[in-house]
Amino acid sequence: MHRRLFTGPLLVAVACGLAACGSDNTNAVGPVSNGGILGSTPGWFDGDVVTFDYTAQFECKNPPSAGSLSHCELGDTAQSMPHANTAIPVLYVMTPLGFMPPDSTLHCPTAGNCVTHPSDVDVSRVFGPGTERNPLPPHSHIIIDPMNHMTTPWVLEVIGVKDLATWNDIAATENLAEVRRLQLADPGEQHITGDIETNIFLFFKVR
Amino acid sequence: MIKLGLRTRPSARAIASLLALVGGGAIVVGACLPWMSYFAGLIPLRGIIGLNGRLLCAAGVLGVAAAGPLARARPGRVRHVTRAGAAALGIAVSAAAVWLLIGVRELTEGRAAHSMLAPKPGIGLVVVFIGGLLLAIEALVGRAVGESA
Repeated sequence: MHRRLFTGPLLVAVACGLAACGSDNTNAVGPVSNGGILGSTPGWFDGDVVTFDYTAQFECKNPPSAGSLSHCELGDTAQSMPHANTAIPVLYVMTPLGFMPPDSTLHCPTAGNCVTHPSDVDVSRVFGPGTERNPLPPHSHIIIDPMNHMTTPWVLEVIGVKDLATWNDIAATENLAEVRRLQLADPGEQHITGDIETNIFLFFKVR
Repeated sequence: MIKLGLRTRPSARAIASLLALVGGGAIVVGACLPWMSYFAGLIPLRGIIGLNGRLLCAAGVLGVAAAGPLARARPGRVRHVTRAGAAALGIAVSAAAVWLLIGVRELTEGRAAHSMLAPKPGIGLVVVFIGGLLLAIEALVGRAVGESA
C-alpha cells in the first residue's frame, strides 16, 4: 500500500494507515467464541442510556453489486447475514452533519473511544501533509429492542442529523420515536436524513 | 478582409483568456469541493483541508490571474510567457489531479479503504482535472491566434 511519489510541490509519500480489510466476503472476525468483551459504548434505548458490550470486531457482508473492495456499502442491504438465532435487530447510528454537538450527547465523540472503531484515518495520500490523523466522524446510537440482553449481530442504519436543534431534540428524548417524528415532519430532509441502510454488522449485548 | 481579420484576432484572444479564467476558476472550485467522503457522502472531506488542496487552489488563482494578460497584453514576450506558463500550470494541475484521483481510488476502493467508514470519491478532483485541461487548451487557442496577432 505504500507508494512513493515524485518530488514536487504536490508530492505525497505517505502510507495509507487505514485498517486493512480482508479479501474475502467478510472483512473481520465473527463473534468471539469465549464471550469476551472487547469494550463498551453507551446507547439510547426508549429514553434511557444503556451500555453496549461488544464481543467482536465489526463485519461487512459484500453485496454482489458492490464494486468496492472494502466490502462495506451504505445504501444497500447485505445479501447474506451473519448467523443469528433471532431476527437481526437494527442499530441506528445518529451522525451529526456539518456541526459539532456537545460531547455529552455523543456516544462516540471521537471514534478512538469506540470499540472496533479506528482512532483516526490517514488520508494524507490524497490530502497531503497535515492530514495523517484525520479524526473520524462522531456519532451516537439508538436501539429499539435490547434483545433480551443477549449477544447478537446488529445491522447498522445511518441517520444524518443536519442541525444542532434537531440533534438536541433527539438527545433530549433518547428514543427512535422522536427520530421518526422528525423524519415524518421533514420529507425534504432539510434537518434529518432518512434511514441509510448498510451492510455493516456489529456484535454486542445490551446491558 | 482587414476588418474581418481584426475582429477575428481579439475574439480568439478573448477565448484564450476566457479559458484561463474558467479553467483557473474550476481548479479553485474543485479544490474547495469534496475529494472524498466518509459514510458514503454524509461527511465530505474537502480538498483544502490539506496542503495538496491549498496548493491546487493557489494554482487556480494563478490561472485566473493569467486571464488578464492573455486578454490585454500585446503580442510579445509578456503574452508568450503568460500563455506558456498557464499551459504548463494546466498540465501540471491535470497530472496532479490524475495522481490524486488514483490516491482517492486507493483509499475508497482498495484494501486501504476502511469498511466502517464507507469512504466514497467526491467530485472535487474531477473538477480540478477539467480546470487543468482548460488551462492547457488555452495555450492551443493562444497558439492559433499567433504571436503576431
